[in-house]
Amino acid sequence: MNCPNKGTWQAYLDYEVNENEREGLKNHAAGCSQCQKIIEELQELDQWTTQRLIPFQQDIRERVAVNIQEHEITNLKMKQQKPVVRRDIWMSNRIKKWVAVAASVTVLTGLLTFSPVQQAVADFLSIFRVQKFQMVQINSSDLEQMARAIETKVGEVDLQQFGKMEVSKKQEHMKLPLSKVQSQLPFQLKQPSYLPTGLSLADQVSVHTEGQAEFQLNVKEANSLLKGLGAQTFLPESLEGKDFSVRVPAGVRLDYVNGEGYSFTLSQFSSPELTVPDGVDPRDLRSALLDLPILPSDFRRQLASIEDWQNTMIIPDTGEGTIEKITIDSKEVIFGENKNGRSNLMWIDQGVIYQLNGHLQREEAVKIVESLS
Amino acid sequence: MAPISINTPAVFTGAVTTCSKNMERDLQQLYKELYGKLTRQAAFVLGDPMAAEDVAQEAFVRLYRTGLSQIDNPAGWLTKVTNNLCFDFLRSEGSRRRREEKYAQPADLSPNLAISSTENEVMGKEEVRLVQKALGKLQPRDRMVLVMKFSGYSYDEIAATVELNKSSVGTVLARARERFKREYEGLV
Repeated sequence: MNCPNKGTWQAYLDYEVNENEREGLKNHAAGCSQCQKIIEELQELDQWTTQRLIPFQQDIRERVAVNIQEHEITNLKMKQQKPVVRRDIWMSNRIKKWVAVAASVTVLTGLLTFSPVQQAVADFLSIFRVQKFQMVQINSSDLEQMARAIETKVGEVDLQQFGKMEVSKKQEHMKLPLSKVQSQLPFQLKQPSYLPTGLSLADQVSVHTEGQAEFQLNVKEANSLLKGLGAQTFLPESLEGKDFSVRVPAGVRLDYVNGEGYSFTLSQFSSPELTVPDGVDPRDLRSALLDLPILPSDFRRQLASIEDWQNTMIIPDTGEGTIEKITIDSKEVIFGENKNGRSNLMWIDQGVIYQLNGHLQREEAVKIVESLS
Repeated sequence: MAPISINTPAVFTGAVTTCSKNMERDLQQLYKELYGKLTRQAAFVLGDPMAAEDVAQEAFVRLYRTGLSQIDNPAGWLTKVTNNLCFDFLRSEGSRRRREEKYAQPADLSPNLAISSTENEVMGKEEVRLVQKALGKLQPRDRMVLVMKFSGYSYDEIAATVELNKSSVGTVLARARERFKREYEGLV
């Protein structure tokens, strides 16, 4: 038999030849040093490749894990995200992205729509402060409609062209022992007296300090976008160059762990505030956004019906995960659960926002919330 | 301020009306179970988690359009379609350009990246980066075969995805590995 080629030996090594062939090849290899050498080379090459690909696969998996984390109830993080704008045929299907867009739109509607809260301060400032949550239902076909409307009418949009964001006070993150935490916080820290078996508070507690950022709207750009979307209501010129300020007060995160790394976290922070200088009527912003013809009418109605809109954070419910409002100790709690059994609870108590997050059964989570003091 | 980035529309168009409630529920279930897995698989093949999500989404959209009742083994079907989409993606002009752009990162500007002030901790990542770069230099078919083999696919499955005779898979695989090694060593 003539010497088989490399590809045949590769198939032989991969058990991709049939029994008869295999026998013949085996016999040939036994008596052919040249082919033995090829087999060795192929095996080495296989090993070398495997060694390179293992860490690569590992790394990619980690990156994906971060990327596709469940759409969770998120707090108002003051984060200047770099908008990702990519356009090719592959972009067309990013439904999840649309959930995020809808969330941004709704949160913006909430954020930019506020009116004087406290009469004393109102002479100078309008302050937005989260005091309650409201879920709004929006399904993927609504999202898809909005997406199509935007695509056909204005194409790509990059929020950065609509204004400037400047961080005036950077949030610092640090780890502290529990005993040193209270002095950092503008509210009384709460801890659960009930914990599921085997869990205890981690040695160090994460604290973030207060942060602040200013945002200036480019009214002309914003209006031309609104116009492109068919809007009849526009933003007033008076908004130009005015500083909208976002303040995120200090907060804390408690991690509860056991030996196997099983854990849940409990975050507590005062409500973020959004402030607008005198002379700006936030209702103008609200109308401009609510009047956008691309909003599905049901969605608009839900938004418009939120009475205390200046203090309500809007949480979109796309119907894709479990999300509902439950009552614990006469507090309204938003309860969400994802496919991995991860629960996410969020509620407000006396101006402080609480978030409980982790692999907890619903009953356990409720017990923890009840035991807080 | 919450940034909005707006791209092209989502795609569950038209098909929505032809789809029963039950099927929607089944699809949701499949999506929950398999989306992560397919995305990871695609990310490994493509070296790009973002593109991988697009590919996995597209696979589900196709399942949606085709209709669950038409398919015996939806999980297998989705896997196959995902692999095909990955291969299409690698072959598409735009993706090649983007891959190249991606590699033209600042680190590439310093010729001595291997001996620059990289600490041990960074070295681990550095190897990953080199692997990604070397894979990026391979022809789509070579890359596909190489990665699919590592992921445990059979010659039959590989052959079907890259439109090759099963009898040629061994040859292409051995050659792809050689090229991969050459590219990698050329970078170090």
